[in-house]
Amino acid sequence: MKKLERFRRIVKRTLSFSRRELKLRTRYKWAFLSNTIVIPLLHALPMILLYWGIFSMIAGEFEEVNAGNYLPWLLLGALCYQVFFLGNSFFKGRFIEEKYWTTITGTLIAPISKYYLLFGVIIQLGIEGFVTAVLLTVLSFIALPTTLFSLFLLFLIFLLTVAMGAALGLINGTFFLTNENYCIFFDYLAYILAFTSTYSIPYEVFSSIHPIVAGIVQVNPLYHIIKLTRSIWFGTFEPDLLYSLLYVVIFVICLMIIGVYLFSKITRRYGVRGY
Amino acid sequence: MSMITVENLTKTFKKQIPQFWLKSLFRPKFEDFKAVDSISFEIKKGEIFGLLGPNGAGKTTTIRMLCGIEYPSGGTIHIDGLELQSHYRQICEKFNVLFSDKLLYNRLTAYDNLLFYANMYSIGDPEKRANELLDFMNLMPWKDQYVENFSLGMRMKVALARALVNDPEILYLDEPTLGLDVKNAETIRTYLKSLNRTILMTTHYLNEAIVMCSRIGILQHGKLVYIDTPDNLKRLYSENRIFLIDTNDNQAAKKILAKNPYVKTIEERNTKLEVHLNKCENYFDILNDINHLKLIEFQEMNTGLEGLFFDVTDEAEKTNQ
Repeated sequence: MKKLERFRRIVKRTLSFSRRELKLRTRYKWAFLSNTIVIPLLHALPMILLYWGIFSMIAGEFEEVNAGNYLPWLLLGALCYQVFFLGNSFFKGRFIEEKYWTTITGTLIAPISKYYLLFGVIIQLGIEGFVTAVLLTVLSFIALPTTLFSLFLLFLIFLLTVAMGAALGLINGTFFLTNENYCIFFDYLAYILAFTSTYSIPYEVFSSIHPIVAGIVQVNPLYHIIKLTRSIWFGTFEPDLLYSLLYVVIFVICLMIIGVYLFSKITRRYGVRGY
Repeated sequence: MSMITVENLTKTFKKQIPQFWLKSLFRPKFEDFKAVDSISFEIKKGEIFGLLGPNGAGKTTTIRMLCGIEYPSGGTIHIDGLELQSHYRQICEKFNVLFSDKLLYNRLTAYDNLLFYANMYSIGDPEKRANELLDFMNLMPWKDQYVENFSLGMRMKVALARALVNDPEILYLDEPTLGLDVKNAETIRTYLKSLNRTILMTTHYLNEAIVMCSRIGILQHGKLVYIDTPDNLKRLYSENRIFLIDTNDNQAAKKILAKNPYVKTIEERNTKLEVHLNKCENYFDILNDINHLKLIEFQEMNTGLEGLFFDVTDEAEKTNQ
């Protein structure tokens, strides 16, 4: 009974963060709809159109991209990229606002584990990014249908991607609160992760440049997420996919632990600066 | 029993020295700036303790350190016998803070604000608690209104309700009546006095501190330069009153006043007399002595309690120099 009560409280606290975020985001509803649906699509569209044109001419040149799959290949890559960036940019944006609204102290002095904050935000981002994800998934489905089981697996990957983006964003946001100078390193890191994620450029291109570049791609968890997504969709299950899944899961768990630890320790030790 | 014990609390910030911008980009120079300089005090359970001081004296930094959101550079803080840094989570349940009307989400309704914060603490029924507090603050009719549409007085009420959300044993109040009109300030003061909690409050208003607090500390340049009860502070005030007197015969007035036991010193300022009184609460005693003379001007120089505040802080400054 006590355990049930404890679990109920954990869920309630986590959801109170999700609720707060959604309420704050939906205060101006048209801006919210634009920011969550239109802007991500506008970001993704030029890249999709550009590579659509390129792949329609040279798709056969690559092992993983062919004339039959290049459109969903691109759409799924864009989906992962958008979802990752939704998570990654969230905390920085939120902490900018909280710093200037001078509300961040309320969260810092609350006697709660900061995991509630992270999980609450992951749930909220899951809801927020769901529309974009569904749109891109439907387009991929029209281009190349897949099984219901694959869609279910894709949903889990979607949550994993949000969690990874949010955890990395929490680290970035933490440094934003204490010293904005350090944020630039995480911004660079996010760009490197995005560029080497193969969301629009096949892995063969990177491996043909230099082994070091190929190595960077291999350690990039976003690359493994995109690889998993495409493999699940196309039904091309290979033994190394299990390695990719394990790698991503461990990476996300570690990132969440590091993110929450840094947020708790750094904000307590160095305080909030710059407002 | 001591609820809050602060010993040699110090906070040093790095202050950047102005340099040529290119140099400051690669080799910025800093100097230490002590915002709080080795202060010590104790607050008993149920006591209201006031921290006074001019802007930049270190009042807010002290509260931020007591809340655990600013890490002290030195010294210790014990709350109810527990060391703050090592028992932070445990202590967090015991206190709450009011930073003027800050900590409120203007884009949320009053109820949503309170509900969010109520969920952060170990409260049986957060929804009930949020409603109770809105009712207590007479804010029920505005329950579902966005805080951004509230007046400052209403925002302060919501902020106070937020600070009471966990029914804290200790309340830290950073300028709780700042910017409020007389009526709203009085309402907030009445609420606070009725709470019977251990309260540490900072304020710019000496009169407010005297009305509210059982002890008062005055901070100047991060140092606690004065700490005593309001009664003693008032006594000190009555011992240090200065009046400017101008009559039709100032020499005669000077001779008469010099014989008065309450008069400490008389100095001539231009054509007027500056009379320093000693332990005199009623200045009519002085005026009675010279009532046969024509009084042209009679003015108190150190304008009441505020004047004393300047006296104390000025004296501390001289000692520092």
